[in-house]
Amino acid sequence: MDASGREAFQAYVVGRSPALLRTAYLLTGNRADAEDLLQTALAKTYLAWDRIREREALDAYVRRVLVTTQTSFWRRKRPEALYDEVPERPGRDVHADADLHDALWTSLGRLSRKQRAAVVLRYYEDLSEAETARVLGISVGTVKSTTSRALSLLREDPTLRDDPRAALPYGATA
Amino acid sequence: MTPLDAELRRTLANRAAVLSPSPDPLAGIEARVSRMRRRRSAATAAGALAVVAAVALAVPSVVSDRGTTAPDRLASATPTGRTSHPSVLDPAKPWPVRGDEQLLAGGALDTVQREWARRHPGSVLTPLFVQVWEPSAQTEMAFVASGDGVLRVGWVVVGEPGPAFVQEETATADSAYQFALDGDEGVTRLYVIAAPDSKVAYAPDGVTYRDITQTSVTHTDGPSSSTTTSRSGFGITAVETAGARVRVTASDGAVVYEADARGTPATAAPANLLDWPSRGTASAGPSVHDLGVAFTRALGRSDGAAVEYRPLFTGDTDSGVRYTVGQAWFRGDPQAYSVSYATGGTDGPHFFVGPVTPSAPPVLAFLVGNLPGTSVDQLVVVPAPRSGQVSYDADATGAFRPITGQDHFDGVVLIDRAKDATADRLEVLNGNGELDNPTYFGPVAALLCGLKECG
Repeated sequence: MDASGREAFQAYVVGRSPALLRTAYLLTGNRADAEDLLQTALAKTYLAWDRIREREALDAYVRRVLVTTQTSFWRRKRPEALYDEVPERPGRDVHADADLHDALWTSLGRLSRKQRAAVVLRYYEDLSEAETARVLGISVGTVKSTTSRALSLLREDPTLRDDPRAALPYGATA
Repeated sequence: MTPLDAELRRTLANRAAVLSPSPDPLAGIEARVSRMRRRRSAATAAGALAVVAAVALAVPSVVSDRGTTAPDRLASATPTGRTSHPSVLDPAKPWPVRGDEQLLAGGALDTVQREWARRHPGSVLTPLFVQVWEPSAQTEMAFVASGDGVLRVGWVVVGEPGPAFVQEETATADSAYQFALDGDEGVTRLYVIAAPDSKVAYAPDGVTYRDITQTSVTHTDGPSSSTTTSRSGFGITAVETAGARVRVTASDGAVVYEADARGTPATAAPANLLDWPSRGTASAGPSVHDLGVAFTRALGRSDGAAVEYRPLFTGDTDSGVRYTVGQAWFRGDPQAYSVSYATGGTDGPHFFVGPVTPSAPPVLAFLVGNLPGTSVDQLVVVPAPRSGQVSYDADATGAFRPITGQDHFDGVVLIDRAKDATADRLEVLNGNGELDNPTYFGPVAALLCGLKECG
């Protein structure tokens, strides 16, 4: 990679790493793993930089590397990462719904990596089902079934089962 | 949007929002790039390409054809050393596994061994070396297998679709084995695996040897930590293969192996090998060995070439018929064929060989017939990954019926098809579900092509 390429990569990392770290954090559930995952993904991006032709689609590329690295075989050999403890938070977090959010966060940590990735891409990154399918490398149908299964597991989680906000509207199906 | 959807969005946004940025995001990346590059054998400052990685594990004995050109291990399994030396691999008690042994936990080894047993009934696979190849982030194993009367060595990559045996060959007991693999960015990786405590040397020019005395092996200790240890007799280095030689010296000083460095494997996969994942029930499916025999007969080959097979789907019918669809090819051949094989039907095993697989087919389809107790055939539709809805029009009336596959089939659908069907049609939407842009819309018969004709 030439000097201009290195500068462009560094500018990209400096500009985008805060947002990418947030996505990595939601995928892994704790900061240490998120930084580890993001650095690995960005290192792979650096090595592939000259071959990435669509620079405007860099976020999509890195997002895909993040997800595939997180769900890849060599990471699966580890136990599923535990989500970090819910911290004491000021302001809005003392609101009445903080308990629900904490319970949801804990429950997300019990999903499989693939389910969690589908949930993060759909509900945090706001990707469409087709975009999510491209990132995960699966069909749209599998995105639907994976997401649906993840939501069902969240609803069935003991900490959420009795909360009406986690329930489906009357007559709806998952 | 359900209440849970909304709460989920808020939860994720709130959690992400409290995360402070890393103070120096570039520092960790540079360290990782350096580590990856060390593994990749990067170009030197002078511009010379470094290339191969050699893993030297080892303990052989016996003097080899020192000073002569040893046989290429790709083409010959002739041992270079006497088979009596303690360094020679004993198939009944192979060398201990080296590398990151933790990678074998979690079912990885079991998966590889089961797939191997399916291919070679009676043969038991034992790993010799295991690592994660960083550019691909995939686990790889060098292995030896025996138990069915044939000694084999090989290299398997364990990826998302399942184990891929990228190198496999019959062998004789020897003091070292070479594995030449495609590396990153067009370079070859060469691994030399010998008995523990052996020394491996490498001569780039074929004459001047230098010892590969140290090998760095990284072990993963936890979610964010790892240790790197260097051990003599277990080396990874960067070398070029053309004109190079490899030599292994046993702990008693005897040169027990000497040969030309292997080049890029001649057993490279065919260009039209699909990178689709294997779907269906991985443990099901008939004997791959029998499939290979049937494939050899169908193609009229009599030169004893080994058959490779890559399943795209395996499954069982309710009536007990086991079947698999995938690609088969003769090792070293440039092209693979679409094939299917079923056992347990009313009239014995049924093998079907299709045409040379197109380079990027939108869908493959096969018929499983001879089903006991039913008057229909089963049409197995294997769409390309990331395809959308599959619909079936049984009698060309335009009444397409959406077909729902089972979740774990990941897009593959099974359709009951009348034995006398001739005009039925299939529609496969693209991943975005666009009705006006299907990846396939046409007769089923056009998908059921044999070697020479369709239908």
